Amino acid sequence: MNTRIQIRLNGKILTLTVPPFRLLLDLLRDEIGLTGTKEGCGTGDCGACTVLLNGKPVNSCLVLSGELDGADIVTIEGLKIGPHLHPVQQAFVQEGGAQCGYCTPGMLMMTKSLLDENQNPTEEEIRFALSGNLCRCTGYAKIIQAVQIAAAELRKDEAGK
Amino acid sequence: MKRPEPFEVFQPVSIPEACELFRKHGPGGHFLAGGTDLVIAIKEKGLVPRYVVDLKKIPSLTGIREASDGSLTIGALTTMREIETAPLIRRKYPFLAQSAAEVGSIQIRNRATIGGNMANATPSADVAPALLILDARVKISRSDGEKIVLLEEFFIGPGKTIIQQGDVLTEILIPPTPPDFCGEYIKFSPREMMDLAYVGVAVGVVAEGARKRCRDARIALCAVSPTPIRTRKAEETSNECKPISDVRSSAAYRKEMVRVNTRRALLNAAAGYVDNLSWTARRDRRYS
Amino acid sequence: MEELAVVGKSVTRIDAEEKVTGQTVYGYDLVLPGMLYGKALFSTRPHAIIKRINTEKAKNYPGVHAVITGADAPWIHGETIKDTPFLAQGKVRYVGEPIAAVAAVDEDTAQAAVALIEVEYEDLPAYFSPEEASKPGARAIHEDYPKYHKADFIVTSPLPNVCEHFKLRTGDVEQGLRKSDLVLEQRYRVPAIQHAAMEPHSAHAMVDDSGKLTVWVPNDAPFRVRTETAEALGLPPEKIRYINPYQGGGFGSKGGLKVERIAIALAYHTKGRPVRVKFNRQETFVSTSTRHGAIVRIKSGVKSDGTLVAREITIYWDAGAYSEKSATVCIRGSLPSPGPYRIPHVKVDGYAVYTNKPVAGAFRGYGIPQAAWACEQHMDDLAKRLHMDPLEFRLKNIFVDGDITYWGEELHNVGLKETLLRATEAIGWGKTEKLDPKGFKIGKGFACISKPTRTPTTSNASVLVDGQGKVTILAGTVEIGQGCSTMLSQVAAEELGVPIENTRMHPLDTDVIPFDSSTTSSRSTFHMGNAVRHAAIHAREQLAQMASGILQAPEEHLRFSDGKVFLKKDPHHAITLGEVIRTQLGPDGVVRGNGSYTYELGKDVDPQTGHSDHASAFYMYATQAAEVAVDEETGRVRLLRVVAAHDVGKAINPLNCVAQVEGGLAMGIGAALHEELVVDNQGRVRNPSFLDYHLVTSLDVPEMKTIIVECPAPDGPYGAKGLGEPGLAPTPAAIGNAVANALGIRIYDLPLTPERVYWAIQAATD
Repeated sequence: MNTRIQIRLNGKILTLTVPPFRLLLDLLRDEIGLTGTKEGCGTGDCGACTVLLNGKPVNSCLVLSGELDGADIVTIEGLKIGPHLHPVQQAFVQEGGAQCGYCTPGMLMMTKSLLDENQNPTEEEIRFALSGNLCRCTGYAKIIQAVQIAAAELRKDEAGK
Repeated sequence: MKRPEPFEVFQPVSIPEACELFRKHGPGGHFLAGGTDLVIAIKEKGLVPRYVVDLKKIPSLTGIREASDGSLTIGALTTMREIETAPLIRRKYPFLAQSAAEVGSIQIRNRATIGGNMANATPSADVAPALLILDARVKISRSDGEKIVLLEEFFIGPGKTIIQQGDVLTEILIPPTPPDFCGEYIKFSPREMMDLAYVGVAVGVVAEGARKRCRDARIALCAVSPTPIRTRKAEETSNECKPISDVRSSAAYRKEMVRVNTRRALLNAAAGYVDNLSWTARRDRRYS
Repeated sequence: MEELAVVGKSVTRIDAEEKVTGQTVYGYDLVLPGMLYGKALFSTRPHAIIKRINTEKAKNYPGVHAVITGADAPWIHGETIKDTPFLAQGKVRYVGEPIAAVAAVDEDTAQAAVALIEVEYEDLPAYFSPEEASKPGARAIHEDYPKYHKADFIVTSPLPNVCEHFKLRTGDVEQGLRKSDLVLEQRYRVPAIQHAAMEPHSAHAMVDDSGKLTVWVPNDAPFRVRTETAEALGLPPEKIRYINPYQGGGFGSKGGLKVERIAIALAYHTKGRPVRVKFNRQETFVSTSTRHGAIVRIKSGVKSDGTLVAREITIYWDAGAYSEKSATVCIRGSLPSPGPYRIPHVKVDGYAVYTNKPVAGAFRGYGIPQAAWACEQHMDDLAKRLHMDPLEFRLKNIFVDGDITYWGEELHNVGLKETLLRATEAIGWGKTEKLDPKGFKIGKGFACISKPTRTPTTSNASVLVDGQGKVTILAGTVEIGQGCSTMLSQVAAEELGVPIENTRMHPLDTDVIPFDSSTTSSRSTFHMGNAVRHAAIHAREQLAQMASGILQAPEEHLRFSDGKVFLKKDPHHAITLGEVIRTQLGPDGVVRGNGSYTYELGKDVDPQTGHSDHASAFYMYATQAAEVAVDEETGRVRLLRVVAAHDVGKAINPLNCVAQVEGGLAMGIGAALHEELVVDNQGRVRNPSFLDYHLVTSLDVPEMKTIIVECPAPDGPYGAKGLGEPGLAPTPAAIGNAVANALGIRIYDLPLTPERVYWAIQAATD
């Protein structure tokens, strides 16, 4: 009952033979061995498992492998730019955006997607975009600061181009 | 919560092919649109599909189109996020865009589709009241042809619609609205986001002339009846609904909130649309 | 004192980079070679005798390696009262209690086999309220309670189902109330809430051929759980090894034996193969632990000039089905429950009561938030009846330096007044800036707390310096997200004069790391901070001795900075720490410094009077204030802003201190406005998911302002006190006071859901 799919994962083409009912989250963590994507609830209510699927943030706990042929997937492991931290990662480090760190990969993927669409979000837009990513440690304040810093950094990069 | 048990996933590229798969494989098949309800049903509610037919490769099921008469056609596989952000919807029916924005999180809305949401007939579906006041219809494809029904007649109970095995909900149709039509959707829930409505109220009013005489008022509700409903008498809205008491709130409180929020929604709608309202500004508007 | 180089600076967390790249391995991520997967069967009845369990079908299911029940794991554990079976022993006491477990080749197989286990129950009457369960004549939930092995400080009660009775007796309350000008009695309720750390619970366990048990689990007190395991299994502690992967938040839930015991029980039946047991979110909600629901009756007598004369408090702590940490929550939560005030006549009775509900245990704040919800609102109501300003009323009565508390301890280094003044100033107490917008009522409120820490406790640490000048810290403090690894690195870097980049924390393994009591009770900065500081100083002294010969200078003329040791008077005459070690001990030499810290003064609280001259190594003080807008038509409370002023003694890492407080505030806001673990009249948790159990989202937290007050503790490292817990403790009461200020209506029960507030408004207008 296995099916063959070809996906682009963090920029690399992979051909996999997988059970079609396997969830993307389990595929990443258990079969491919990328455990940076976290499971917080398994029901799409916490955002810890957020990955980018064809450029859009989704809960990987609700995606079936059988619908992935041809998909482009980016996980936290694919966020670095070469050897360097992505500006959103750098900002989370600098501003104290990670405490226990368990929600962090999902937060970062969501942040990346927000800043891909909107280089200069207001605080309100940041809060709105991150409202599907629960965090029990930070109270969100340092995370929001980090997103603002990252946005400013990305705008600087853009202006420098 | 459990992991899915083995099943096959098919990805047809046309509606006839999708219908054919159901005919061929028989009972136990489920359509997969965004999967945000289906996968939850598998994990949480003990649903064990024999096979799943993914509709996402069918191109004709996506897109939002406006006809010259002002009517809209929304493909069933259009995601909530697309409805939330589509310039056409935001301009024409901002309350519909907003009702889509009330669903889950962005991650959920990137997957959840309007067709899937209607077909699952969740009593608390946020988009349903907004569509109901627009007199929306759904188009259903069957092996023997197509059928168009009013959304109001489409829902028959919690999780139940007139759809039969093998039917495909293909489009949501919104007929033209009068030029002075103005709508509003208020979701009342304890959390600002990531929540189910205690009460959802959509209203549409047609106000005419300089004195804004109200010629027509439409009201629809979710989360207070077995299905999302259109109510017929504005002043009796809170009597027409049949809420239940559950872990979220009591039936009595829901009735009170229907009353309060219907009035607020009507006042907001009568005041007319305000362009480019931010989330917080919209929220503030519905609280007073 | 010389200026500090790293301590007191907002250095970046040392674990941040691995966390933002997804490299951190949490307990939930851990994979062990050859591991099997375990799942448990949980009780569906709140209180029942197990008549029969049939595991035959499960045992025969393909891929199953072991199916066990209580008979296969006949062990009983408990930190202070040994009342908890690894797997149910003949009866169940709550819905969600583990009864049996399966180990199989994968999780799906284990789950499928669990579904094949048949259990036949005979129901018993169940209790869901601690008041009902402790009424004379109630049936015992633990028939064998009198026979259980208990810690010597446990005070039993003639009332049924009481597992601990805390008593505080000071002065003469009856007389105090008679002498008062005003007496007010109220009753407040706090529901159970759940920790809801983002990482669900999991444990891995293995028993090797020599009989050694190894457990991999993100547990907040590996040494304590090792002792608890050893006592339960009858093994010497050296036969047990706990290894701590990273912890994705805990807040008190990830201590003791929870998911651990299922993994351990299975590991004894899998012939040396490791077993992984993961709880999903629902299991985490129901079958780990909760914060104690509490009913607080409070009665106070006060003079018309606002002087507190007497206070009588009775608290029923809802322990749930097993004692877990209930006895100590009852003691340490009841003791300061009359609040941080001078009161001559005090009587407190705290009862921890068994019920047929999920087990309550340690939760950030350890009983302080429940009592504060009652006491701080009660204070505002007293002030209102006295026609006094609540701030003035508190200032007249709060603890200040030199006060003797009602438990008999003389207080020093009390930063409470400063937190009170600064928090109320920041919220603009007494000023009305905004008129009530249409339909809204605006209000402000504040609340104060003091919190003790568990005392006495011990921390040990070692600091290794190698020939490359790199520093390795061996400390048993668990990085649960609070930033302890960064704080301890700052301490070691400070004392050794090395850049913080040259330090690292050794992974936590009870076979390697010296003993530490626990990462709980906000004790780590104070205790482990001291231990690491002593260890670093010990290493530095050895290095100074070695360097003294090389640099031809007496030790007292040397200074350590920037990874070098040099003459104070001639900084160019320098040698790196690595060189010192290589020269003296060879290329592979290591200098090891050892440090230990125990707060020696602590005297146990007297079980009959609740008195102690040193109940805590230090006290944490805080005041928080809130401004709310209440939508009168819907009852919805909107938080406009919150302010938190916390006395931390000394902020070793100010950024991290602010981060701790902000996180606490968010948790406190959730508890104030919507968090409640709802248990129905059949003992079932009705909202065990993030959809129905409402943590705050980024849209639910308002502007937060944190004020760090530094009133140094002479015994703390650099003057530091603790900070981890108080962030959430006064929050609900501050919000409750703000709502009462807005509406003129007092609401006694948490959470302040729109519905509760709405009906309160309706009741007041009827």
